[in-house]
Amino acid sequence: MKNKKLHHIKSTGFKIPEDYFESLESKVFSKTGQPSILSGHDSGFTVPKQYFETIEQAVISRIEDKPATKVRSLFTKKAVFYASSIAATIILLLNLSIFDKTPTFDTLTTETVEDYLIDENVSSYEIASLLLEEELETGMTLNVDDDALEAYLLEHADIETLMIE
Amino acid sequence: MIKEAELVEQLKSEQHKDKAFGTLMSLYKERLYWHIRHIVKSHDDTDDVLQNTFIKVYRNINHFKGDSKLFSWMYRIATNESITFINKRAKQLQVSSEEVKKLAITNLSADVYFEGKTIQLKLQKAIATLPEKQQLIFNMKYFQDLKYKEISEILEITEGGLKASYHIAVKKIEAYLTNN
Repeated sequence: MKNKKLHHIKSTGFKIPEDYFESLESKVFSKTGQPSILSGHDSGFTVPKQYFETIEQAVISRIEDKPATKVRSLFTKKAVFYASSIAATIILLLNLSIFDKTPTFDTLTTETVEDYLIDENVSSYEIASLLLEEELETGMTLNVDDDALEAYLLEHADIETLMIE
Repeated sequence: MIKEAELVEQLKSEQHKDKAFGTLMSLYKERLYWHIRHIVKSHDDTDDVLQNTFIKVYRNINHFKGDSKLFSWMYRIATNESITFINKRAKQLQVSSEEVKKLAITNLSADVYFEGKTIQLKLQKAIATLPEKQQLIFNMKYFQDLKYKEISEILEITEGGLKASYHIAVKKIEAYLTNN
């Protein structure tokens, strides 16, 4: 009978004060030689008067001031600087002759060619070397007006030289 | 007193968010302040970090899943913000974060918001010698009197490990105070 009762007694009946284990270490700690500081748990830190009354408003005003996400302006000083630099470079390049088309033979005036040949001292032999023999024999025909030829010979040609040739 | 689940629900609703946030700040401002203050030491720095913490809570409340208690979630944010603050300061001064912490202790003697006696300053110096995690545990247990269960939730470590760490921290501090 006694044994049967015993099986039903699961609890010891002992109880401990609430938070006893939580405070046990502090109690022991306070008796280990530094009771003046360790019993009071005063860190020595203080707070300005009214701080806790004003902190909420400070947080709220910061929340209201700041947008939820950072908005990046497209027109920052840096961006404007870079864009201006690029635009200036393009304009400069367009004004430079590097984009000029290479002149074709057809666009050259006769005067330009004439001036070039005179300035560069190109001899008749050098010009002849650029032409093929067939071109010299068959293709080269002079369609010069007789009056113009006469006028040219009167102005430039040396009669004596012509007579020798 | 408002229940935590109810408060979270209100914080997540557009209609009641601002009012609930006011309640939240009233409830936790002092506790979070002291938690941060024991990490960064100066009042002005604590003020900055506390404001950043609350702003982060306000902006990220929708990401709070409720896996842990709101209280421990906020403490985690405060802890991270404090550590980030110290690391940023270290980067600015081009020194290590340990150096920043030492500097904060050195500045305490001239701090108008530190009225501690010589022994309290010595205690702060002793705490500064502990590894970061032990510092956190000691401050939370000793000064803020948080329960092991709460600290365990905040720092996400087991209660057993926590008790062992606290015990080691206490021994180290005792040794420091005795030898210095």
